[in-house]
Amino acid sequence: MRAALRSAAMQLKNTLARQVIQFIILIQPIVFATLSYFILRHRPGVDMASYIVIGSGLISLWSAALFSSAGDLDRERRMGNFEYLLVTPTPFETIILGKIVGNTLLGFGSMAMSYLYATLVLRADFAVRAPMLFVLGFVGTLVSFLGISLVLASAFTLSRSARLIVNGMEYPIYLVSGVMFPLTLLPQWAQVIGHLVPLTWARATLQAAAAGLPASFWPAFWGLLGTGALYYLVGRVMFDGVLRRLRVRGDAGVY
Amino acid sequence: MESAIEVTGLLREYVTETGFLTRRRHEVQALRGISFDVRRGEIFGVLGPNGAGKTTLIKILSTMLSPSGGSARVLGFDVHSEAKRIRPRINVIFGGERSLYWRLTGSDNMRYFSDLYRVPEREQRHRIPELLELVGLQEKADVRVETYSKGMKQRLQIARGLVNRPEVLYLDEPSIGLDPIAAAELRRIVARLADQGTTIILTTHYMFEAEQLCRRIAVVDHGQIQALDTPEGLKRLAVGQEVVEVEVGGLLAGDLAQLRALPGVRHVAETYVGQCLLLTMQSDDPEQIESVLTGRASQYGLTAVRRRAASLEDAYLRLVGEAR
Repeated sequence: MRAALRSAAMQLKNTLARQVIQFIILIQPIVFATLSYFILRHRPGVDMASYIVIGSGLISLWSAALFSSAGDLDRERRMGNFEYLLVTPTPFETIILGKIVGNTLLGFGSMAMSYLYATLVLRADFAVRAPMLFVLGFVGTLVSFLGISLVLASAFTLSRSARLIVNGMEYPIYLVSGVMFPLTLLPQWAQVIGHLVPLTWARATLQAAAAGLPASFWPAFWGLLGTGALYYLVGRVMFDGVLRRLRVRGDAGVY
Repeated sequence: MESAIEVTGLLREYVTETGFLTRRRHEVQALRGISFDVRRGEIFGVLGPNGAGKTTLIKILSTMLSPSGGSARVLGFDVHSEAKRIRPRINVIFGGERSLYWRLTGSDNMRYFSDLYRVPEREQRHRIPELLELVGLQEKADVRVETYSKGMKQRLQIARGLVNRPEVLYLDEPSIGLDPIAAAELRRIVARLADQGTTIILTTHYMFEAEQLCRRIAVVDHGQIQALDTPEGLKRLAVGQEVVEVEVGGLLAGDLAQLRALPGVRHVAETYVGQCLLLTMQSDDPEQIESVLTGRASQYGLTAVRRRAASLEDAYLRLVGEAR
């Protein structure tokens, strides 16, 4: 447990020292919030404030998880730490989990940035009508992100081109998860794909809590936890196989 | 004496595939049936040229890699199936500046790795400053590693490798990049660890380092052990007591062939020292060769002919040279 916490703390310290992450946390929420504002400001029947704050916040959360996880593993390889981490007495997945927690906390920082920008600069009228549900939704988002991040991390652990994969995983996920515009605008097949992504459920959960709609909140919340748990289980199974394969293939130190 | 490491018929091959539509499989045999054992508290040297299989051996023994065949046991446990029981009791230090977090301070690095090695917080409080002092980094403990010199990073790696007081320590070319004073200090630390009972496997390209520290040395090439003995034993085995050194401004290929063909000459190593070619000749009768060469000094333009005691480097060049 202490190793995981130290890993999270170390991750925060190490990552915050990088300019690209500073951009993701501080600047990207502003860019996406502005984009959402111009896309949705004349659209009737859409809670613009909710899309700006929650949508752009979740986008930044996803970017932070994706870029920092992939970038970290890539950097661990290049710095020669990767092989070393594999043979410490602390299980590698515990180390990675600590890093993911650190990254997700950074992502929450960018959500806070979105909120401040949207309310102070764009004057968005964002109110949370069910604060307890909103907090619960936040916790569910964190848990669910841990699950999918574990799957991503195990895939990135095996891949020597993690950064390239990440580039292809950013925008499509924004589109199918409905964080930039309502999901109902997409064709049916895209909506089905969207429901496999925790980001979709996180957006629905937080929007329902903000609007004070418990009837919409709970199905979304269970969907959020369900997808998170599923990804977590898949991630654990994948990690065992990935670590075994790394030792057999012997390319942990190759990049 | 009890063995800390037992290696029997160790094999390791790397398989890579190339091509998109038709995949081509390439196999490289890194280790081809290596066997040896290391006693507790022994400093065991592994010498060999680049690509000989030294780092692969260290990676298998430190549980980073699975062997393709044979077996390796560390502290009584199998490196493949019982890796989790081995890991808390070993550590590994690679040469160079890598394997550290450059954006963190020296202390941060030490604390992080101490936690990963499950060193209790209370012990960390005195062990980390002790180790940083041991490697002379106590003044720079709270400075980011990216500002360290190459030698300082290397010393931090050494301190990092000792956080869990390992019973077995693997040192893979640890003195690369260290200045002579730091390298001497490293040798002193290594000798002291062995005195305290730590088993050490050391790979190095520096013969004097191996000769000074190691009780026994394995010379590895092409994934096989070419010889395994004490430093003195290796010299006797490969070279004899003495070699003949010859300095010459330049030598025609035909003349060199003639020198190689002299009766009793077993091996000739060529090294350039500035503008001068230095031949190190190993023979059955160095005295006789010295006498012959002194007599033909003007014929070949030899500027100096002398006998000297054989070194580990002579033995190494002979063993590796012949294997190639």
